[in-house]
Amino acid sequence: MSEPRFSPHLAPYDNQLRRGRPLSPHLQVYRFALTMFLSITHRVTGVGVVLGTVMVMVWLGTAAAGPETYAAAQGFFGSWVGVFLILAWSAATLYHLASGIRFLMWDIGKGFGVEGARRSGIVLAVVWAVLTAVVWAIGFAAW
Amino acid sequence: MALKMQSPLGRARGRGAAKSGIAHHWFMERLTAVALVPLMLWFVAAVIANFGASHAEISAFFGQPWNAALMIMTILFGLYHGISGLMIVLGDYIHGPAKHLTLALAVPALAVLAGIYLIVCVLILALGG
Repeated sequence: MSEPRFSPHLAPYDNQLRRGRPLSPHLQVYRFALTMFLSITHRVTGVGVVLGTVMVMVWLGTAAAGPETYAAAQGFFGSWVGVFLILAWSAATLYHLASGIRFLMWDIGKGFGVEGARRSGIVLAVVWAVLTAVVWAIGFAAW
Repeated sequence: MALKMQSPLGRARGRGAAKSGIAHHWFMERLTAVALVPLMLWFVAAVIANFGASHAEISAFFGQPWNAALMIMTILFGLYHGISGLMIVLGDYIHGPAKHLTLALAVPALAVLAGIYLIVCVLILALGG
């Protein structure tokens, strides 16, 4: 293994590096790669979709409460903040869905390796963008 | 010594003091993931279809038994899968046993509460509240 280049970020770990010990994943010193970005996005969107449960609770809760309460909530969901939240939720959900299928594919042993992960990553990015664009287009057309 | 008295298979089966591994968690996260592929596609479609719907329209939508059934199934599988994922996230980022235990108890408890609340709401709409 080659000597790691000096980086101010790595200064606190100088001792570890000089002893040839491995370093834990460290965000600032990673060179950007599509695969790592897609991986962390899977986790971030996963947490986001769970947080979106609050919106579903407002939606179904106000509907169950009656027409007046429901109309107030619809006012919120129709506002800029509400529309933004729904767009973000749908984009996150569709990403986690598409990315999740990629993970399931790995679970059955398909597409392992650097090249396979890179290629399926590009497919994922394209599928997500198209899927989100189609869903948003249908949503705005119906609005 | 005690270790040599046991066959490797016996040791693997017993899994030491924990008596269980992560296989169940792993399997259930995948099982719910597979179920959620069609369910979430349906749910996203349902949200779009009911965007800006009136109270009468939304009541009619969940008045359809299949819609109510799919919604309840999405709630159950979605929250189970959500807890599975959040527990891993907690394990990765929350340090300190007290903090971790508090959140590891709070997250499933809140998810169960949210799940029951949502199912009750669906039933109220489905049964014409």
